[in-house]
Amino acid sequence: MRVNSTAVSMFLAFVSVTFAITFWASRRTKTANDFYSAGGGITGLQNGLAVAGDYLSAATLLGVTSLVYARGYDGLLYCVGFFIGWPIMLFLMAERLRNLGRYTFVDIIAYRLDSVSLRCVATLSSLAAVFFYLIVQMVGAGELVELLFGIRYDYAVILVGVAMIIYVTFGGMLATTWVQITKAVLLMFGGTLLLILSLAHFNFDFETLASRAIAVHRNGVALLGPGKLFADPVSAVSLSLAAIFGLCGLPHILMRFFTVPDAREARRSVLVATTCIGYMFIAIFIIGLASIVIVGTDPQFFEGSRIGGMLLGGPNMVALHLAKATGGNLFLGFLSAVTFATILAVVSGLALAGASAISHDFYANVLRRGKNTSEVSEVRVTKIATLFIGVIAVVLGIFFKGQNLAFLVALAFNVAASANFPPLLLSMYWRGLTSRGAAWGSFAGLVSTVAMVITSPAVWVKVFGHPHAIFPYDHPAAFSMPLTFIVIAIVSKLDRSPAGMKARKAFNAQSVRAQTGLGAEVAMRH
Amino acid sequence: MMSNEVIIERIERHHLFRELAIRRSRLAWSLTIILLICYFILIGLVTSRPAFLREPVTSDSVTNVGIVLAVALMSLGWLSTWIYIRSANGVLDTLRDRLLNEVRHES
Repeated sequence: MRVNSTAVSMFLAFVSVTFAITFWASRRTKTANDFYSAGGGITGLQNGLAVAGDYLSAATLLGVTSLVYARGYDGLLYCVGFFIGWPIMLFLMAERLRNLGRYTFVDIIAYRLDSVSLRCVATLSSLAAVFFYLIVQMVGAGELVELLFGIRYDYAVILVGVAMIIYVTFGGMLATTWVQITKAVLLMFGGTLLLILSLAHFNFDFETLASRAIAVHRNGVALLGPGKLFADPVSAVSLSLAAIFGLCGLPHILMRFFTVPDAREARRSVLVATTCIGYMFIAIFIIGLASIVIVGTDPQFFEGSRIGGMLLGGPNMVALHLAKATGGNLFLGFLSAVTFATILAVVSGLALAGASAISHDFYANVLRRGKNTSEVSEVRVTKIATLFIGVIAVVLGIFFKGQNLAFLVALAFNVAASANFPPLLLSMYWRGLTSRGAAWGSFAGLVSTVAMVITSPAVWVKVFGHPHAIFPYDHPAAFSMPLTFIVIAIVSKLDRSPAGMKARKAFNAQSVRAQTGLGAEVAMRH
Repeated sequence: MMSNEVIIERIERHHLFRELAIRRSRLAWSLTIILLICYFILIGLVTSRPAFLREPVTSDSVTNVGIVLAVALMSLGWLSTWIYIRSANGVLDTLRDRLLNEVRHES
């Protein structure tokens, strides 16, 4: 693919706008509260868009379109799984996150369970989820930019790293939020345009589209029925648990609920996010089917013009090829720029979440034991941490060049579901939870998840080249999540320490605040 | 002004607080369970009755039961979000405001 000048100019326009936002945000970001949670001044609508933006990464637009292109109905099922976590997050968590939270989700677990070992484990599992996700985004960014803009892979990765560091260190959460909102709006606009232009080829009739897709796809009519992805019950359940409860444990998503002023706005955020994400998932399913007909039968998109062979630029290029086929080079340029913007926005959110884990959870509450830290020094540590995360992300991004990293997304979601979600849920709902229980459970979840993913087919066979996997499933959540819950329950039950007693006693006061929001306003303004 | 601990203790013992907590958890957990059951029924059908999901909706359509159920499940997810928010903003928030008012004025 040649360098697309529309893409480059639109991308530069996006970058200039976001740097302007960052400059504006930097003048309003003074305290730690401003830096981590934008001073609690984001509305429900804005936060909903930002949260949706965090979730709809480039991997979603490109990856899921390509999944539907290859496997049809399985792609739709995948979307359903990754959608259904949102309502559940609202019912069980959103309001409580707002009412109990401060800067990071670990604050909520530590609300009545303040212990150093718990913070340590939680920092580790937050960072694990953040980094696994971050590496995928960096590698995706490098490959995409190399392809679309003709910039060398390493330079592209460095470019992403630098932009991310600038957004986060100067503008904190406020800049990250507005960059995310800008990108979410652009992405939905681009997605809608792609949907309309594609449907125009089929007189806006789903039946026509579906029947033509069946006619040209090699799977024929089986395309629209369940395929291999969810065929095995255990692996289907495990993938579902990782998707649903992983969402409820992703640090960069959870963190966004501390940016709204009250529980009501937290709820509204989820409604907005659910609407945007549900709409985009259904749009992506239709776009994927349309690309089977439009891209899949057009020799210009295949290597050596052989229909059915390798797609130019690899399987993830389906959505961009479709943009070119339906809207020409101008639209291709626009969508490429939006995709790159998406990556920038998502990595910034991740970097901020990782940096807050380091500075707030580790530096302020572990190294300094919550004492003798000023907000100024905490924010300074966050900025340094962001710089480190940026550099590490760039190095890892270059190191993992050309690898198939699908397993890292699995790791991020499974770690979130197994190590972050169980202690978070129980801290809000189970009186008997103690620090010791939460720390041991979370640690067990983290270690078992990583071990199972490393020995799974995606890594053991595909990366290390062994003939057989030790652990047969790509997603371990069905095993690691129950393990975490069991370890937490047993250790907490056996915990007779004074700290454990204190934690149980503090449950009532916590539940008053969780239900009424009393005290949360104060925490926000201080 | 009363101290925060006094207020929290009063709220804890207040009958409206118990009502609020029970109502909220009943609503939240029932919606969660309904949604999870519906989702795992679909996954169950996918793994055990794929042929049923491949059945066309009408005799001359290509749209099949599976697509309809998947989209219906997403709509159900959205609808339950809306239902929860309506109750939370209405009944539950009213209850909370009444509770806070009563606690503040009972002295």
